[in-house]
Amino acid sequence: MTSETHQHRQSGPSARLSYSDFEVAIKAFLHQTRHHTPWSYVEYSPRRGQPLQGYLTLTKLIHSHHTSSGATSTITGTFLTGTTTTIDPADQLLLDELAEQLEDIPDGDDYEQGEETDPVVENSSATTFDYLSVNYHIVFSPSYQVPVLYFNAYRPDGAAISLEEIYESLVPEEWRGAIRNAGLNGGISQQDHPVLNTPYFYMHPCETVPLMETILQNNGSPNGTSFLESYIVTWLSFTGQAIGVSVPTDMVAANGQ
Amino acid sequence: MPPQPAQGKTPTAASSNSTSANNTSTTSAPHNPIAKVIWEGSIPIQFSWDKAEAAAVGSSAVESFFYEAQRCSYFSLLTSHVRKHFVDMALHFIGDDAEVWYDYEGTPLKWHYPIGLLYDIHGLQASSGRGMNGSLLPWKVTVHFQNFPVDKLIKTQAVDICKDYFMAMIKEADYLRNGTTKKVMNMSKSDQTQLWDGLSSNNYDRFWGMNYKLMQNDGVMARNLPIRIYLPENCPVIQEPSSPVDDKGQPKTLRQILNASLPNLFPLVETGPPVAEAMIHGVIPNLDTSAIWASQNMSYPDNFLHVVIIIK
Repeated sequence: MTSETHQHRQSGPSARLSYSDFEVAIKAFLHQTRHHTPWSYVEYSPRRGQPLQGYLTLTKLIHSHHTSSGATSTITGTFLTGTTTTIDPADQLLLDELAEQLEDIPDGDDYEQGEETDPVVENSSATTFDYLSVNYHIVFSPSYQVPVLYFNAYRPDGAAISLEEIYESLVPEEWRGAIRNAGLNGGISQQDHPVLNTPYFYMHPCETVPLMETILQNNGSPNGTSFLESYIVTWLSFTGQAIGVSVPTDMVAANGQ
Repeated sequence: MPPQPAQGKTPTAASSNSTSANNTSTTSAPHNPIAKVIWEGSIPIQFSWDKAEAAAVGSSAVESFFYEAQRCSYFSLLTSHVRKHFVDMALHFIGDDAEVWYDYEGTPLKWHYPIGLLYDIHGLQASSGRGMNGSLLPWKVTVHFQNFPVDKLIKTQAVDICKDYFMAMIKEADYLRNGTTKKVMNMSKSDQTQLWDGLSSNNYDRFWGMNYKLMQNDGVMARNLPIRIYLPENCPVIQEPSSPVDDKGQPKTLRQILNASLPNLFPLVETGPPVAEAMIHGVIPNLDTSAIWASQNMSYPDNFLHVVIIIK
């Protein structure tokens, strides 16, 4: 990045990041979550002559089941390694196992504590399983100088789901109204992914800076480094909850103050 | 010669008859011949119905629709005109405007990019500038009424989403200039509407009456200029914070801005014939032009300077 990105940085830790801050932050996060969630670091070349840059990705399987009585379904999550959008055979096996277990265990084994949502799904058919494959990307925004959460969700046949289905499948019911009404056009919309240049949903980043500044003020870390190291955990615990990805609560407790 | 900014001050856009009563519901735009010429720029487009779709309904001899499109506008704003032509030609289109999409030589066109930018990229950049003699005009665009490619194009609910996207760009430009989006967020509903209405109804006075305030930025120098740079072959768009002044507070030229992101293509001192050119609105501006002046006078309505790089 050019030196201009450093022009407006304060001498102490800042809620606005330079790209190199971002890279420190995501690498720390990668290390912190390595036993919990299989985030991957993807490297790319912005253009010839530029140093490589990176972003984080995660693919998550969200499954739900609904019965002919129509009422409850439970969304729990399972993580897939790698970043593919198709389900590979090893993961299909996992899915089938889970499908068997679902009859006995109402709430499946969660990697994330306290992350269940219970939307009411009306369905008149017999017990069926639906799952979505959701890709999450944490990419740097050079304009807003913060991380941005991009995501896409696909049905088993590979079809992408709509914004309405995103709200219904990923956003906890009690949050939907607030997010829909956020900002100029709702908290979630579509944008070209800045690296892949294809449509992705994303959470608007303009609230991130004021949010992180508030946290910085309240937790006042004098050591700039540890603020960066806990940046993603803190940021994701707010941003990600709204759309089905979060961090284990014990991690937030350990890193936040 | 474009007026050069005084050191440390935000230069005004070229103006003589400045506006008076800003309390009127539509502030009339200040006199700005450069902005007017850019606003009036247009491209003749020849819309043809996708052959496979036409054949599938047994209509293979449908005439093309010729339309002089405003460079600063968006395809979403043309869809109702385009659809009307083909419906009149006996296409029984029952679907939504939201299903309509356009391609050029097989590449789906991003409806959220201004039309002029799309032509600069897919026409002029792709031909390495050869099309600048007008040989690619009328621009031959294919229109589709079904099979919207959701993996390639942002899903649209027609005009509303286009307006939302446009306002998001205005917001981002404001953030780059000021470090917050307060100015845009505090704009009254009617002010926001004036911007979009002015653009969608091709009303220069209505649009620039409001846009002038955003460009003036209350006389405060922008922290960063809203600039996006497009390299060929689907390279990630370059959007790096670009300060309008250098370390000594001197206003930067376009050359200096381009050099910061693309030093090999735009050296500060040219040692041979240029290997690349920077195109805005289909023209190659002099690179010694002040960057802040270019931002204030040559931006697209979304407040961004969209610069397309032509590799010689």
